Amino acid sequence: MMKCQSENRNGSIVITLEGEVDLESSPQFRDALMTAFGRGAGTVAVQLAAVQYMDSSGVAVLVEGIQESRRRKVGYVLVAASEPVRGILDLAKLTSYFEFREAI
Amino acid sequence: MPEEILFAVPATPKYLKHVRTVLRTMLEDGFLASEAAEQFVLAVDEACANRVRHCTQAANLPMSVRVVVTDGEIAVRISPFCSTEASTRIRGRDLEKIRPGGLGTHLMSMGADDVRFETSEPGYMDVVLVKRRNGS
Repeated sequence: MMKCQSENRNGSIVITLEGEVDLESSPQFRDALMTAFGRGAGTVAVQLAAVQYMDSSGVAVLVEGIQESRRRKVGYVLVAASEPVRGILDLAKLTSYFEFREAI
Repeated sequence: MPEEILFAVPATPKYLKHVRTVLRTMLEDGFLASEAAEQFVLAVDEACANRVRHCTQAANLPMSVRVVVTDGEIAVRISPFCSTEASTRIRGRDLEKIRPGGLGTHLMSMGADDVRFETSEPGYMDVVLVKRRNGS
């Protein structure tokens, strides 16, 4: 089960994920992320503290975010990435491609 | 004493969490260190996801999952996993190229000690993922 919420916060769009991001739930995350990029904010932030599990489909969405941020010239950060998120990004050798923050 | 569970689920995304739950339950006695256990759960989940996404010929067949825990290892068989023809094309991708997708096969091999393909019913292959016990 995954929960996904979006909100405006100080000029940024913050997407907060909770639960498990897998093949079932990653399409919902993708829709929220692409919608966020289309809203004209200066930065899109993905809050990941409450993500208990992420598979490669979730990682694929995070990577799509990098591509979208470059295309639209919008900032893109991962906030408070949980251990499962850090772990799979490390396994995939993708950690260096993301900007991480502890808070937004 | 060996512990074995055999179950089948529809090959659709909504049932993948149930496979993870069963596997975590079988691993909760410390058979593997926690990080290794979660990496193995991820490996099996990626294998199941590959079956759901790519084995379209078997879309109407249930996905059978057999988990066997012995003193020395845990082995998970997913059946059927893919067509015999598709099994010849399975390989991980170059991680130097950053792009969405293609990570599943890489994560399968990262989380398991062995990943092998075995003949299944005619036209199909099973995949078996094996992780050896701590210190084995």
